[in-house]
Amino acid sequence: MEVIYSIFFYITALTVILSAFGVVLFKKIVYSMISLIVCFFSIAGIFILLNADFVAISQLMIYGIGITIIMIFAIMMTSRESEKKLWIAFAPRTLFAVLTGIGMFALIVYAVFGCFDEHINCVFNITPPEIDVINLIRQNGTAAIIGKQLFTTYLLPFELISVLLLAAILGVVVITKKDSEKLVNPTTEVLEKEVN
Amino acid sequence: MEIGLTHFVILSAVLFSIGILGLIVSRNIIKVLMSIEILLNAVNINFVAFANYTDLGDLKGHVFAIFIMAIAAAEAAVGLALLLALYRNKPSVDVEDYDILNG
Amino acid sequence: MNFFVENAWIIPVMPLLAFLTILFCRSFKLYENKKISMLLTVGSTAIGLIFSSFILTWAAGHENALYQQNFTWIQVDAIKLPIGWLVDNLTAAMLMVVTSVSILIQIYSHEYMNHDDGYHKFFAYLALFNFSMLGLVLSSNLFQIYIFWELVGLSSYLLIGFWFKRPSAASAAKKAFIMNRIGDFGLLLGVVSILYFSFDWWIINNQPLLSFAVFNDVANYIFISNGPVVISLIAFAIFLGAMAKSAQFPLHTWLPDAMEGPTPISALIHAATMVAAGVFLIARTYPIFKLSPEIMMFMLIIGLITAFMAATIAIVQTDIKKILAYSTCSQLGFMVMGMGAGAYAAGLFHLVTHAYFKAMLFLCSGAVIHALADQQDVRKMGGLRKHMPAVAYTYLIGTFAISGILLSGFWSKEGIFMGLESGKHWIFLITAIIVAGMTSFYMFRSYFLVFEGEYKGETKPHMPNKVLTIPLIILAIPSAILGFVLSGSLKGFGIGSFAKFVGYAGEHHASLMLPAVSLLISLAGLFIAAIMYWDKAKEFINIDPEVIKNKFSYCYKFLINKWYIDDLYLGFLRMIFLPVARFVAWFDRTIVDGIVNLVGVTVKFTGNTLRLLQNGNLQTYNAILFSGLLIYIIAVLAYWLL
Repeated sequence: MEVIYSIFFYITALTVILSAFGVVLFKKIVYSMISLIVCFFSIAGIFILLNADFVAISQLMIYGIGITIIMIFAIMMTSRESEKKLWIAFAPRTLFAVLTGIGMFALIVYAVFGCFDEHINCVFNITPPEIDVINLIRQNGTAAIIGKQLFTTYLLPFELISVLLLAAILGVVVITKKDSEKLVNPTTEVLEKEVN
Repeated sequence: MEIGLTHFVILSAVLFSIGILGLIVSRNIIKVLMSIEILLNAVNINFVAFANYTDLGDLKGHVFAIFIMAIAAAEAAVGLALLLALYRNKPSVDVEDYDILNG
Repeated sequence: MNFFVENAWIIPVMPLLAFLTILFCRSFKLYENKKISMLLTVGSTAIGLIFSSFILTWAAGHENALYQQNFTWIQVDAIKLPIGWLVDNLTAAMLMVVTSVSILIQIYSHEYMNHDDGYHKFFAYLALFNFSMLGLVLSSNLFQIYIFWELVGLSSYLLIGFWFKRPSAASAAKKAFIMNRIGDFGLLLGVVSILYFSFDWWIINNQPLLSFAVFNDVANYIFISNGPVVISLIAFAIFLGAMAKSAQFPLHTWLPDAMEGPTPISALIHAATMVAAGVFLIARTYPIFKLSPEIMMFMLIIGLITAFMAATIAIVQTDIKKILAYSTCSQLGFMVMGMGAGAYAAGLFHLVTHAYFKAMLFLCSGAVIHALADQQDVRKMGGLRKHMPAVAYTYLIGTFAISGILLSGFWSKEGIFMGLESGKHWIFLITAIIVAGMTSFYMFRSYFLVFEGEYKGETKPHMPNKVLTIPLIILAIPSAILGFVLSGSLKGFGIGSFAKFVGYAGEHHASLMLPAVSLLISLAGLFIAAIMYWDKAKEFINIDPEVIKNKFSYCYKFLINKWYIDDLYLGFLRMIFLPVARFVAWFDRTIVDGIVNLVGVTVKFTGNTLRLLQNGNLQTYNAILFSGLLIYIIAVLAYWLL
């Protein structure tokens, strides 16, 4: 049982990491977009491994479909034939980023492998949950529990998120409105000429 | 070895670092926004992993993960809208071109 | 009578008011009449004179007369600095001297400065000086004396540089002030040290701080509790102040240069009063000096060097005011020698007599200069006795007085010689007698050159005004008889009544040898001067001064260059002081200012460097953000774990 679980975990994890690298390292933007989709789906797989069915489906819907559509539209609207392929900036900040990345990773690994023992009751030496709790969840699903939490303890953030989404929609509409006819924007003129 | 919380946390860490890398290194703005999505996903994995291994009764981690997803969606939408607005003024998705607020 | 003593503060305040009135009114040109300035000044001094005479009679009537009144001026925690006045015998004597000489000089200078543009300024400064000197004499404590000490120095600076448009006068004023400052530093050190070392005594006995009335006890306390070294150091510091003010070697070079000022000023300040302030200070703080035999010996040496050096330089001078200036320096040396030998009363007696006859001598020379239209070279004068007999005879009286031949100078010098003898300082005594002989020589030389013989100048001398001659005649009276009056009877040689008056009954010696010897040497000086410079005596024995000058040419050169001391100082300043000053200035400009500038430059540089981070690129900012976050986490972790 465990072995299968491990195999699945390692495969999914590998996919996640490789596709994440793919997002960063592909030259063509569409390729990195595809990589991102793969990444999202893989993360959904991870969620399933974690007994989080509701979250996995939400991930698929929100990220795997919603965000993907937004990104593809953005790429469509902002790519032009004559553009050069933009890959990586060769600037001092690259070095800082690499170092920071490695540093963060090292820090977390250091934290995880019990080096904190004397100081924290290590949260990381945790046994897997009992089998009956897991079976209960597998039977009923997590949606009920999450729903109960959302409508009792976390009601306020829930409502605020709805306000936030409203604000986001309105914001998007306002920001992307076209300029009024009197103000002539040279770029839009050029674009319109190109399209025509 | 038995898969424990450690593995998921390390996975989250790796994803987070890759997200930071992509955020800073990319020259295409859209890639930057994609890296931000990766960051948020890494955090999501972290929360759900903890929820799975410690908190199966209340699943607070799952709730938090859902909130994060909602916010991430809103943020991605607004971010790309801003990108479009910028694109109208200067038809370039190169990060190096947007450095007017310097000095 | 007590009224005058209790209100002795009026004496210095009246000249202060006169000064302020003249200053204020002339700034707004409220009056033009010269007589008003003169009347204000002379009037204030006259009030002072009246008060002083009453105070003198009061002091003479009382045994151990002492009156003081103090007000607390500055109070900081336990230190209460008083200000007030102290009237005792010494004060009464000095007040009389200062006010009487002052008023006569003020009347004289009305005529002398009548055609000068700065007439009003002159009288204002005269009033200021009067205020300062009278305040100094009436001071009740050491701190107050310091204040008036500085004020007197300031008045001297203003008056020496009165004709400031002349560069030599401006330099001379600066020189006087700077040399006085060197002495003031010593005095300040002395004052502060006394306060520091005796502070407990003042608190315990609840006396006004640094008051002179209890100085004897204070000096004993400091000696007992801190030992002889401290007392010697304090005495040296105070003597430094007196050295500068009273023109002792090595701080004496300002006095001859101070002759750049108008002659009444030379008479008032640099003969009679201000230079006596140093000796007055020594008198006031005498308990400290008495407890330090080393400093007394030091005073003797310095006094002797000064007296000898100034006398030798005066022999070869050709400017009449310079001759008198060097003779003042020499007589001050005598006074300091007297103080150093323990003959406190003799030194003060010499101060009093010297004030009168030196003032008179200077005023006579002023009359001569005025008559010859500002001509001061002795070689161009001669035979002026026919033109101005009053001046000539008063000058003769003064010369007799200073040479120590029977008139007042004789008695006071006697006192000093007897003090030297009783202290068994034989070398000092012999050298002092020789210096007295030299004094007689150069004074009579100046008399013969100016008033006898043929007139060697070009312009025709005109008769001096009565206003000029009457003060001379008035001053001649104390010059002549003060010695007899204050010595007690003619029989016992001594300075009996003055000594008793001032508080130190010295020892009387009945031996006649010392006065006889000194009289003989003074007469010898007169004789030699006569045969060198007086035509009538040249008929008998003729010694040509030119021949002697050529024979001792090296000696002459040494003397005419004032023993090369001025050159020495100039060399020191140029070779040592100026490079040090230049180095310090360079250090200040480059290094100290450089450090300050460095701060600014560092800020600017840092700003310029950090500005490069703001390149408008969002990702740069993010990079810094995440790096910073990482560093912060690591730092907190390290702190937490360790």
